Amino acid sequence: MNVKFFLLDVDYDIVDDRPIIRIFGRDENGSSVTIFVKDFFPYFYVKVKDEEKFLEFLEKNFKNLIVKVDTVEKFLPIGYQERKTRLFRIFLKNPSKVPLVREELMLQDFVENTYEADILFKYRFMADKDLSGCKWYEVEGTFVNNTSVVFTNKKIEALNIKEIDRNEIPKFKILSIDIEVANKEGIPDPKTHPISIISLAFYPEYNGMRNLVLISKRVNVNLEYVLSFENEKKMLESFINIIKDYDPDFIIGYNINNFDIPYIIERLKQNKIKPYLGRAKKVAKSQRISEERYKNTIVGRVIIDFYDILKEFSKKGMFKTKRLGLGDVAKVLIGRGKEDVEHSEIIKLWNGDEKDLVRLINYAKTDAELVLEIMLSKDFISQYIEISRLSGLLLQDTLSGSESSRIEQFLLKEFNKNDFVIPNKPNKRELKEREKQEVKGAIVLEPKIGLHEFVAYLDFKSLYPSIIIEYNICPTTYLKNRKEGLDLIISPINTYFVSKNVREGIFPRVLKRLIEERDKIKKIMKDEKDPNKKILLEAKQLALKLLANAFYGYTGFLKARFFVADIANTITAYGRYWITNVKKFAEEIGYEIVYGDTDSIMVKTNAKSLEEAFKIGTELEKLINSKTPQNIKMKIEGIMKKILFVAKKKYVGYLFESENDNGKIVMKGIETIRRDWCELVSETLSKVIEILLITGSEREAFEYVKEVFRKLKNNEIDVEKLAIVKSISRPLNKYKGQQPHIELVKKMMRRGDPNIPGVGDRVSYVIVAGPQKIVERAESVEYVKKYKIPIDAEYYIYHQLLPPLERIFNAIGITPSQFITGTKQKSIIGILLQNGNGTNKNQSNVVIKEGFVNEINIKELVGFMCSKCNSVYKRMPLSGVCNLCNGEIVFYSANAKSKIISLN
Amino acid sequence: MNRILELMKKGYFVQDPQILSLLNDEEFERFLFFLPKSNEPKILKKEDVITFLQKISKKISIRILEPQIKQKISNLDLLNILRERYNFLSSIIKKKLLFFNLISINKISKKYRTFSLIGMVYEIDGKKITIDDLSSKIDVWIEDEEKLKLIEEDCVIGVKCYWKDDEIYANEVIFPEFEEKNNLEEIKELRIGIFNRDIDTDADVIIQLDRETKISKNKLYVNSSFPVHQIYVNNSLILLVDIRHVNFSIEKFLKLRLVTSKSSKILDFGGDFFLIKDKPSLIITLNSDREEINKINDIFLISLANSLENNYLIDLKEEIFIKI
Repeated sequence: MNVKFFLLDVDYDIVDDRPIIRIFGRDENGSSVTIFVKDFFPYFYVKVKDEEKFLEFLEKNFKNLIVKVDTVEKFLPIGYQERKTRLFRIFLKNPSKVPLVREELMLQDFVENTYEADILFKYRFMADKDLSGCKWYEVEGTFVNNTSVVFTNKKIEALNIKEIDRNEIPKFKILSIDIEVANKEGIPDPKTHPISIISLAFYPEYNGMRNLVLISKRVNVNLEYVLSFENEKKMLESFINIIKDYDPDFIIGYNINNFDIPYIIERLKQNKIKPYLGRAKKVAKSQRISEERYKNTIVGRVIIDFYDILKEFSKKGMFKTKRLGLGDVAKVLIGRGKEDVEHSEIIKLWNGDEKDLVRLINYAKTDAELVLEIMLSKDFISQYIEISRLSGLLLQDTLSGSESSRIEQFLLKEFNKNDFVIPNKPNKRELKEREKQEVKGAIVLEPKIGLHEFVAYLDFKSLYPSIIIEYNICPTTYLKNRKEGLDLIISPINTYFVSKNVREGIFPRVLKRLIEERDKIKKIMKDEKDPNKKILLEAKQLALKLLANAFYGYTGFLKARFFVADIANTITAYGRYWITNVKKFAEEIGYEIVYGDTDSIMVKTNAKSLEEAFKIGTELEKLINSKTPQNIKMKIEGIMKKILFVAKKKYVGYLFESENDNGKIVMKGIETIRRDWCELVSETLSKVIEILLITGSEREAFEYVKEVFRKLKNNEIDVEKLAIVKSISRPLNKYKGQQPHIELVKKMMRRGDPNIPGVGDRVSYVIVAGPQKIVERAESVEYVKKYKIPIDAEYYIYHQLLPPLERIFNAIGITPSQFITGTKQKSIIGILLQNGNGTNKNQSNVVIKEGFVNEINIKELVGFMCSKCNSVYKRMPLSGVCNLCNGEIVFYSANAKSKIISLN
Repeated sequence: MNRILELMKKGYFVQDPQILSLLNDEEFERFLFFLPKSNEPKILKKEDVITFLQKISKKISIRILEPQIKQKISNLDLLNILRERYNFLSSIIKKKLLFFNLISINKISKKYRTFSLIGMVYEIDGKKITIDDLSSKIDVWIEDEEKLKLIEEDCVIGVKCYWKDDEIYANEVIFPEFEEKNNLEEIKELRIGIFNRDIDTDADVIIQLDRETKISKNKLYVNSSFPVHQIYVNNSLILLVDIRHVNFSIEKFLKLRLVTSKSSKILDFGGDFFLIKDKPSLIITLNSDREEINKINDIFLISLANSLENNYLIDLKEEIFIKI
């Protein structure tokens, strides 16, 4: 019989001393399937110096582990070779024994090297059978009924598996999980604190239920989705049964990878229940990889932690949120927030009356629901599915794995297809060697700091992949030493590669294919009307782009199998070469380059309108491309109507991608949201950027900030906007040194406040005026409002607003001290030596353009200033540091700061 | 010269002419010159001559604190100078505040109802002053208006404080006065000559101006382009101050106790700073408006005018100075 299925996961089991591959998926009818594949053994390659000794050694030591040994002819992976090499191929009975045999062989002097000796068995299998995660296959085989080792609807022993051309995603079963632990103090410990509530949300429904909330004690609550149990053990047993019964493909949650799942697994252990959460009789594994991070495996199912995914998306700027709490992101993404229950409140509600318990139950119910809604409302997963398909990885490994693992699985298949073997991952010694080699990076030109208008932004399309293609750069075309008689490409740093005529490298060939396929899909997308199909195509083209762009980074990645310093350096050398050349050319024909970074340049057009700027930019693009090779082309990304360069890799611009575009603000290296900033900072910074780039002038931006300062000093700013939020991450006595939010909690305790935040809770505070240290002047917003306590304007000006604003305004030549008027400047010396009053200069005219210089001549000395925040002091404070920001106090003149003054 | 006759002209009779042989001609001339005229006949005793001889031959050690001119000064250099001054002056004030809950500024909190602080005055704004110490800075309201008048920016003071509403008030201000020393006794006998050319007198200490600074026997050559010199004669401190360069009152100068020795420029602090640690016995100011002798807090103050034009011989015992 034949069954069509969507591949989700692969693992193996050892039965009768032999490996059996298990493929998990869902068929087109919605049933879960397990496909068994027998007679596939792990193997690896060995290059041998003395064949006789080698075979003797194997016979003597590993006879019982080996299935068979044969010889093959393959190309070695690094360095151009004209001929294949003879290699031995060892097949073993048990995949877990491969490392042992490999390590023993590597110690022998008759063994030169081993290849592909550390490929995970499942991926060995998938590469050989040309299988990828998230693709559709048709299996021909027989049903298996007599096994209880797996729990899927269908179990099939495969005779033959072939890929079928199908794009759509099946209807998955999704289970969202959230647990609550009501413990007295501190962070819950899975070894001692039982789980109080397990909240589940299902899609599609489970026996007509969208939600189930399991409670580990008997309660009398009249809610249909509540199931209460005598104790935690009974609750966990039921939980396991529900999972088995519902049989989800995806288990999702928010931070489940680092909390819920490891916690559940430990609690199952503590209750002596086998953690069979997957589709087979195999314990779910939770492996700690760092202090707060875990790697979890549930066989046959895919764990999707939306905290990780949304963090990634937020980093890429796909949505903006200051905090990544579930309530915060849900509000932004689906317009639905949630009630905030502080962690310390949970125990109170758990031990409270019925009303309290219902509140807690609904809180837990919402947590599970929200994640499910987020997953269903927006498409976050398609991208990962497409990357799986393209790279050959399983979906779980695409979600949790690194970029290099994606490329390596991809290359394993490509290299094997072309009769090449791939190298093992580097061992410790090899890594140390690699660390000594230098990989030089990209070029970043010094920006012309300040504000510019009508700047054309041009960049090379996929520069590094283009370079790889153009110059045939590949480990298989690389020559360590120059060889006569071969058609060679010599790079700007004198590395050598054979040309396409001799052999087309695998890297360039594969990249060309990826790029062409992507262009094809983009063309189809233009004409596609069906929005669902468009989403899939978008995910596909994005996956292609990501994989192509990952190639360069991979070549420079020390732990990569294919790391060759010369290759990575050659690619960046060409990159620097072309940017430098383009810059030179543009300047020769009369254009000013205001910035350049890796693969892009920004050129001043001197245009008076957007239309003119685009015309000039397009013309420039043509001219440049007439000078570059076939595969290395520039494209005009847009015109920056206004752009402000603050420093290398730090700018804000108002970009128009076309003449009729609406224009958008692009920022690089400059954030407007940071967790330790209050809302006023984000608001002011965004507004300043907007004024500078879009609506107004430098003068206006300057006046706007002054007005904000004025309002601050007059207590006219809404206190809520001044709140800073920090969490209590450990018990108070574990904090070294003073921190404002902790001092506030201590204050609240002393006052006898009713709601004292505990570990895990967030504390919101403002800094009020007073004589004590800043850290001791944190107060809660409610308290400040209630007692109308004035805030410390100076703190907000110097510690919150000035640091980010200063960078922006410095770039346009305005110093923060110009915002702060009325500071009399005197010095002890002025008093001693002059007319007793020193100079009384008004600081608003001081502009420091140069920054730090070696020394200032005494004739030019004006006074003392903080090196960080530019606050002016009438004399050196005895503490030696700025009392606002702890910066060092230095001398300053009209144009510069220095630590030294000279007397002649 | 007939020594006995000369002595008789001044009203002195010699009982034992042998005692005159103790003096050579030069010494006798000197002795005669400074012998006060007696209206009634007086017997010249041997002790008188012996005393005179001891006086003119007594050992006087002169030490001058010579400024070292650095060509470059770093911010840390300046900080160290300020801190040295602060530490020294606060150690004097501390003794008076030992039982008054002395704390550093960063430790101020409402848990102390009364406390005292020592700080350097950073700013004076009406009745409110800002002081700082090595830890932090703070505003303090000064209740006593008389004391407020005495406070200068950059002076180091102690304040006894209490809380009023949410502000800090000081009901007492303590200044670091010089410690009492009996220096005056030591130099009371001295005759100091301030000359601009070589003059032969019996001054114990001769300060000759406008020369390259050096010491030779009891002669001190001084470069008058420096506004302040600290001269130690035996253990007594004599300050030679060119008031033009510091341009404020001597009282303020003493309060701040910090001087520099390079001539004025705006913000010119080339050269090391002197911290006046010891109470001066004598301050001689040059180029003042008028010539007079005064006392400030038991410190002898002699103001001389046009020092470079005139030569002076100052007799501290007689409390006179003579233009030569």
